[in-house]
Amino acid sequence: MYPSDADLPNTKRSGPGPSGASLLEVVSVPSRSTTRSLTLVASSAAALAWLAGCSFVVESRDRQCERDADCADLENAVCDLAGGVCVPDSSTTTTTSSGGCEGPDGCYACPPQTQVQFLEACTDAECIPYDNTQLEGLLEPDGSVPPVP
Amino acid sequence: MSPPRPQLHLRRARLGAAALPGALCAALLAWAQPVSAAPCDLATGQVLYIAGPDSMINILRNIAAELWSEDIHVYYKGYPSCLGVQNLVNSSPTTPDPAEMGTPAAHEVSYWPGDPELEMFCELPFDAADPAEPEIVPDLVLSDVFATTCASYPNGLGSVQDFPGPVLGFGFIVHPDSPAQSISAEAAYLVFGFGAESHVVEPWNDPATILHRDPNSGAENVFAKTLALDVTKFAGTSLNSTGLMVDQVALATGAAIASTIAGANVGIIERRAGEIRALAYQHYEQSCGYFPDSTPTSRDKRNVRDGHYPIWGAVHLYTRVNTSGIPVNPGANRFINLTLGTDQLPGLDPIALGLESSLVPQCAMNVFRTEDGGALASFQPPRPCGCYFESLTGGTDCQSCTTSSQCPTERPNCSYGYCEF
Repeated sequence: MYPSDADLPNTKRSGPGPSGASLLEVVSVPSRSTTRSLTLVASSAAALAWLAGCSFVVESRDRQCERDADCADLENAVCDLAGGVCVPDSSTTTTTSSGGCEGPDGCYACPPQTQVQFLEACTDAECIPYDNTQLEGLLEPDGSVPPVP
Repeated sequence: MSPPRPQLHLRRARLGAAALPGALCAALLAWAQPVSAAPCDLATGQVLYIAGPDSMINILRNIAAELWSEDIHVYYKGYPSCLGVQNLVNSSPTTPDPAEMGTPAAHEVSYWPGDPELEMFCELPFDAADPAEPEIVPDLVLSDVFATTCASYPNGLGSVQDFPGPVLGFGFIVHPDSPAQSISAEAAYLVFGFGAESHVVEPWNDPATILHRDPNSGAENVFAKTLALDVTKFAGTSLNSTGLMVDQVALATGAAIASTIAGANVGIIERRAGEIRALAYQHYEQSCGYFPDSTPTSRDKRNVRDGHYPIWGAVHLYTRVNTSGIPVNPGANRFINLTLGTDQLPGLDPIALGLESSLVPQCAMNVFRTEDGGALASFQPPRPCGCYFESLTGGTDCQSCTTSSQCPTERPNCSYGYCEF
């Protein structure tokens, strides 16, 4: 872990949540870099649709849904009973905190904007992974590098 | 006034004197003694004194040769990045490299009067009465690192402005027969931070073969900033010459074949391919290690350009500007514009010239940063040349064009002969 980069977003490992960003993921099928623009447009349109739908329902009923059937108008969505909102169905979709931009092998398939997104952007360039597990015992418990004396 | 005659540059001369008859040998040696170059003619033409490292020397000497015909006389002195910036900001003169102080080469500068292949030498005026022998204040300073990497400038650089020039990548190198193929930022931090005195990362287990430069090296600073490792705390074995360091990697034998590691700029790595090998580098929070290029053998610098490979820095052109941001020295303005492609001259191609040193022009970059090792951000060059750059480094799939009307909507701009975004 980068020692001074704790605030960098993790684009690949966070789970879904009942946020607007997560809702995007249910309708935006991740694609490779060549279709990033289409993905962005689709995601934006979907976001507007979701927001409009949610806003209307919440204002009229306080809760968007009581059961999965209430989310039938939204593709691959189920009802989060605790929050009373429609969320992506994790059993049918790949969901991450990357805003519907997860490509093959978890690469970032939208136009990158942050450091991690650039580093993890989808590419056909050759790469050779370094297995950091072989550094076990040499790094701090949280995976960060130790201070140099 | 005609320029001084070329001076024999004898610092690199090697004479087989032992095999020669005595008298002839003595005569040759007398002839071969280093002599001071003639004083520079600073009264003729418009003087542009440039100081800095030689990272973009091929671009520099070609532009200098062209500018001679415009009566802009470029004089260039090889000089450490950080010292030059400090001189310019403080309006203080350059002084000799400590290693050359008191020698005929101490105040020597190069110039190219009309021919980039004809390097000539002259001597700057200097204050012989001062032990530090101050010369003149540079008009333009080249630096391999941001000024803020060298020192803290809490009040900024005043009227000195940074014009980011071509980009140079750096990489970790090993012997070609080393078993290592890649290295992560965490591993590199441990290797160079602890130097195998503790926190040993295999196969780099010998402090004597963990090689690095010194805190004055631009390369060392780029590695330090990238790894978030204090540049003064590099462990292992420090060498004051990149050439010696690379030699030691290339000539490793026995156990040292596996344990030796060092860092060097991509230009050196490419020039000495076969003798040394670059490792793929996996940055903090990155899931795979990449080379500067899209493959180990290509030269497209695609991963530097698109942000997959973060070990790089720009050659910065620092000069004093007026309130409109225009360089005060018109020659500096012209030099910068020609370097960056804002101005063009027939037959002068700084992009192709930079390739000799493995440089990537700013117009081929899609990322930028505001400090060495800092976070990457998206960059859309005003006049993109990524396709042209690729055409020079192995080929491009981009559509060629002469006007933008020939380009498709998804790549609507005809730039450098190709349809670009």
